[in-house]
Amino acid sequence: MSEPRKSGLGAPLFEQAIRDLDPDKRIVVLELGALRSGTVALFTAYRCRLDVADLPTNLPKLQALEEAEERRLVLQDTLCWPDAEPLDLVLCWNLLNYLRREDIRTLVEMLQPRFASHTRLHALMEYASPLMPATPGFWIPDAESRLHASQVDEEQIEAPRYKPKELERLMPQLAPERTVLLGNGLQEYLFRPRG
Amino acid sequence: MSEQQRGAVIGPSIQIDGTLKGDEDLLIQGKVEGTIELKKNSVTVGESGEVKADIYAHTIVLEGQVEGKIVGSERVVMKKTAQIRGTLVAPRVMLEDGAKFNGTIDMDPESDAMKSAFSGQGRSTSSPSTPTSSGSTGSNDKAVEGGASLPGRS
Repeated sequence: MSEPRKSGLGAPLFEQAIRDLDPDKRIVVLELGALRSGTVALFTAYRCRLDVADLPTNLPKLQALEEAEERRLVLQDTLCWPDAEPLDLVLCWNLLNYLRREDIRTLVEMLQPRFASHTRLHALMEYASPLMPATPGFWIPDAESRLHASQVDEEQIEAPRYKPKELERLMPQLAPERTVLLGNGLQEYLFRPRG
Repeated sequence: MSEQQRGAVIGPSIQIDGTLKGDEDLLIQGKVEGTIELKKNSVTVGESGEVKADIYAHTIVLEGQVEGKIVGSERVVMKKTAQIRGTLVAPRVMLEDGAKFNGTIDMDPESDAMKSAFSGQGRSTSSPSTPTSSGSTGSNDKAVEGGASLPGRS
């Protein structure tokens, strides 16, 4: 039985990503997870366009489909925006662990057309623990960019514990700018596009 | 709008296809497809409301299901029961955890979507002209918990 995560997690790379955003310019943020109050509150201070994919809603469907092509269609539908502006920041919290390796490849492949040289992808992943919640929980940022855990599933499953090198192989379009192992066993990544 | 004026209500058994325009607040508990234009007033989609429409209003409160473009010149509030799919444009957006949203939220007052919908009205600094369920205008406010009091209704 898992214990709830400590609230108020300091995530230095997320804080850096937020600090780097220009409050005077239009910014485009993609939340791959479910939208939470703190995310809206944090970005409402910016001239922000916030795209919300809500991948967790489609995870059960993705996990049930055996055919890669069928899963690609689900991802395509999830990530389809009629007016796709270049991204400043992508939030990918607790999600990569729940995707198959080929779906991680597909996901980043689909995001790539929206990458610009300044795009950053911020990811949080289970790393130290061999187990993780059976369904992805949520992180709610506060005004100081600290993250608060929400809806942590007490049922646990094996964590894939992707190593940084493996992630680089799965996401060749991105290079890790910095990684930090957080006190609670999560690995924090800040990726930027290669080239 | 006078506080004594009551808003209009589309009840749960009502279904409307077409364009809704007017100068009073509106509560939708039924089904609406088409376009809703109440640019000086508030629109509330109640918990039983099902809307497949573009909504243009001063303040928009969402508690039910909405699919379409939602443009609020002052703000949009998504309550925890809301299920939204589409594009939301407003200078201030508030969301209660539990609300489901899939699509785009544009909070940039300089965005083309905002300019074209309200022809030059940018981020307003004035208080809303009609009372709303959240009762708060701060840009970093979280929407309040609890049931909504209906805009313009006693």
